Amino acid sequence: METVRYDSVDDFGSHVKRLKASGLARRRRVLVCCGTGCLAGGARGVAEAFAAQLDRSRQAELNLVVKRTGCHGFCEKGPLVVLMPRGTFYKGVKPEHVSQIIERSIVGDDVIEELLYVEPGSGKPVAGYGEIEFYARQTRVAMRNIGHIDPADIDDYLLRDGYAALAKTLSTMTPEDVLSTIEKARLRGRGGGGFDAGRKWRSCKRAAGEKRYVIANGDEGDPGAFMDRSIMEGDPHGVLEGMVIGAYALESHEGYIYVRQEYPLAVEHLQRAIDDARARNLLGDNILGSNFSFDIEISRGGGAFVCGESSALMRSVEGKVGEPRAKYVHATDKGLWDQPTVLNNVETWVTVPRIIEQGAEWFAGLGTEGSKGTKAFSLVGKVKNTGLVEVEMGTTLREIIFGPGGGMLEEGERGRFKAVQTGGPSGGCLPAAQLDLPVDFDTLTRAGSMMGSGGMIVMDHSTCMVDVARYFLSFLVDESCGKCVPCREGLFQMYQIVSRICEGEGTAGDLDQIDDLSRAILVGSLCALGKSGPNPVLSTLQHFRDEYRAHINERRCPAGVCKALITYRVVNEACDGCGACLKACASSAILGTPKKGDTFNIDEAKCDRCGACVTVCKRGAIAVG
Amino acid sequence: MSSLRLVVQPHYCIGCRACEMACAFTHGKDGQVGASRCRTLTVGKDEYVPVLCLQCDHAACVQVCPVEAITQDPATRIVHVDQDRCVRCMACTVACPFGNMHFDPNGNHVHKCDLCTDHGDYPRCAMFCPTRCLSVERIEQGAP
Amino acid sequence: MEQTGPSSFNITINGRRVEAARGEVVLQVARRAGIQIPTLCDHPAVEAFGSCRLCMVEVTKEEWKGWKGLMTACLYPVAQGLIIETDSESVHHVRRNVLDLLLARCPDSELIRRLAAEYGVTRTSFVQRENPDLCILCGLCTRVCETAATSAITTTRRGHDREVGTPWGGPPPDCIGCLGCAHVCPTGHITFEDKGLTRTIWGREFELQRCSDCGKPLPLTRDQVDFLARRQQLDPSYLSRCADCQRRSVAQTMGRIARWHQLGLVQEEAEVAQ
Repeated sequence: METVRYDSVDDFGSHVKRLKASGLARRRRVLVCCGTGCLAGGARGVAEAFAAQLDRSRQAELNLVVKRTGCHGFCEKGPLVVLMPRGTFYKGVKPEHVSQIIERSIVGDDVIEELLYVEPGSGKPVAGYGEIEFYARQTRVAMRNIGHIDPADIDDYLLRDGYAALAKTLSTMTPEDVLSTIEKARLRGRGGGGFDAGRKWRSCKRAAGEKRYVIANGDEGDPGAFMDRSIMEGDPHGVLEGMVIGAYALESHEGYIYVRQEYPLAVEHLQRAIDDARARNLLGDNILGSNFSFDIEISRGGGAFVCGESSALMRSVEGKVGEPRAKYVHATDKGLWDQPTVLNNVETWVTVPRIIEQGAEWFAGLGTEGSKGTKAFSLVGKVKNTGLVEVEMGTTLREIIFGPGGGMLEEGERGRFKAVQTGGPSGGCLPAAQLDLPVDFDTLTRAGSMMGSGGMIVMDHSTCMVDVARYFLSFLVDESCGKCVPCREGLFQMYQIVSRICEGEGTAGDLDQIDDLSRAILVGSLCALGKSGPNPVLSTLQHFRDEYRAHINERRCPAGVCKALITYRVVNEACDGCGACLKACASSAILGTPKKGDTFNIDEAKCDRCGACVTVCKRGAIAVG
Repeated sequence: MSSLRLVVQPHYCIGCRACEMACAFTHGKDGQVGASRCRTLTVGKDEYVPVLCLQCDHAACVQVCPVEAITQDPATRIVHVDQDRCVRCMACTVACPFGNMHFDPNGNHVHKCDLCTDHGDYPRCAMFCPTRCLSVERIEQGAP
Repeated sequence: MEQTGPSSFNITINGRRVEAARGEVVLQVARRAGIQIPTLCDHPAVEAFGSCRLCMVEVTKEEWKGWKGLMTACLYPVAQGLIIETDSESVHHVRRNVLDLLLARCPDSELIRRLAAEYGVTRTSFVQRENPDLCILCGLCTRVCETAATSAITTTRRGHDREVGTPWGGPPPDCIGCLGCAHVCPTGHITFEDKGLTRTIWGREFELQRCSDCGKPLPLTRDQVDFLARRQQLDPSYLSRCADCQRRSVAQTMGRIARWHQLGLVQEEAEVAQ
């Protein structure tokens, strides 16, 4: 990577031109996914094998570059290797496959069948990136670069028109031009609140203060959500570019990216991007010679979900304990250090350069009337293809889950779709009857859930909805900052009630008490964590009330999940007396002597419902009910 | 606008302590001794001095209060304690160089003479003083 | 937030028009008008916190077309045209639940019992805390310590485990023994003892400052005296004698002046006056 510094927009423009015309830019690309998911799957070994077997001179010989990229989004199938421009897509790659890949697909022109992704619908292997349903059905705007570029290489970003929007902004647009473009695009924040970004920026611009701050919220605390992680890890410059453009519009000179403690790779890549951008004069003093100065610092979280709430986040950046404050005075008036501040989610910021480049009309042409553009979702749970999916707003739940999602994971009765949980702990569960709802900011909210930041957990009939409500309550009880009574005490008490129901000790008045308490928590809590805390319970009560009734009135868990309400028993007709279950049982709850023709039995009192016996039984002779 | 000044002339004091009683009955329930903001001390044979708040212009109590609960009214020059704001740290009771800030354990608050501001503006001690020891002067605003 | 417009205006509270000034909050305007709103975590010496949620009031404006919001009066800024109800059904519903929840947390607190009873709760409908103490986590002690003293105590941990704590759970090294925390605590959870020359609080023992004249203990600790002298920029000599000795000393001086006055030596007052 060159050491070059752009003293003007023209400087920048001509360098990018040279880059694009260069030989390096036209080489074939071997993309090894090194997002956190694939790394966990062993991608580092794969990347190292490629590095060892394809050194610089060999790469030049073969007219290719090997790049470690961010997350492709198809995390279920990692480690992933993609060969461009052909688009050959290899899944489950191991270091021992690398020499084969080089020989057959790089030097040669062949595909390695066993490494190809098999489309679950057709059963056929798919050779090319573009033909994979998972990707074909997506409209990648926020995630357009991830997986294609090496996030540590700024030139890769430039080759994909990186910073072109910034150059356009600084040379042809005024701050007011930028503001009105964002307003016209009707971009709504992607962090969950869905507040109109243009309106937020406008009120910050109008506010009185000595200086203005710009913040990117990279706290992403919803369990199961990892869109922002991929964006920060895989396209850090995209975030920076968006922030510089926004800062220019707001006349702000200081920005922060708040990254949660649990994302060290994101911090590393963002810091590298900041250093490289500074070196090239795309960040810092007198950016591209425009007289506009803006710099960014990374602020790390300490492991608190509540710090994703904007006022708590700002307290945390200030070095104080992350506790929210009442938002009667908006952050755009008094935010960070009591100065006017714009805080937006990472996904929102990464969308800004696209809007500037392609225009407000283009963006407003995507999506629905009330929700413009696209949204990235982390689709997880009982679907075949878990990963990151970005689609136009207005795409239905069914289209997402059964399209790129590939449909339900398991076969049979238990594998049928039961519910999809959206919006994280602030959201709710929607049943099959609601699958044709379009996903956008407002429709899901009307149905009792919310789109939130994009978490989407698919559940089948092996899931107990009361248990799901209990899980989310326990999460919130753990993560509540504890400042206000309704959230700290109220959610705790709700958790006690729902836990009791799961343990078969529910009483007749419980559902009414949950209702009454929820109302108080909804209106009484200080911040959105508390206010939306009752949502998972309320939405499951709304759509799955029968399950609650079964737990309370019949002491029965229809899904067979709640340990206190299920029993494990041996189906003697199917049992062959092998005794594998006996060996597996850690509680010595199984009685019988192997291979002696004994009738095996499970002692209910000792059984702790761990399910080990079910796993080892080859005859399916253990029933749960 | 005129305001009050309490004039203390100790050479007229006869030690009857009517001032203490009047103050205690005005500010306390049933006139307990602790409620009086005026304390008359005996300093010699037939020599008595009533000691009460001098409404200092650069008061030590105002200076020392860590929560700024004590302020001087710019118009009347009377120094007031905001009882709601006070956290009972007792710094003022020690800081006053004249011992004029008292702590009343019954009411759990600190108190000082405020020239009967809440009781009709005419200091009761002066009203009941049988001699000219405690008397009231009306001063025009801005007068020294 | 209104930044433009008149600096004082009328708002309506419970049907009454009351005067309010820009920059004020609903609670102070209501109090000035003699309207009672219950609070637990509010105190004039510290900044409003909004944690107890007891001062919730129902807020609306004509242009909100019937939409009503519940806001904490201690923090909600007044604005022209504000219409406030302090005792509507929804307000009472929140207050009742808050007090019911606090009763589960601190069943032995007289204050909570009394307040809860006012809203119809004599026994909590929830699970009572095990080994309950009297702390309602209003945060007054920590805020007073931050404002008026040394931030020796603070809230630690989070959520249901939140508690007022000290560095590493031990006796707080920065505490000056001013008792501000104990005095603002609404439930009496924070205890202390003054015995002889020693004050004990938060597991620490402090030496009380002695009067330099009579030797009796002052109601201030030596650490407190050092702190006040430094922070309030007051010479430590102001904090060295007890009120009785100060009074006696000034009375003696005044007595001397009176004597001279009686003897017709008025002009010497200027020389000896302190």
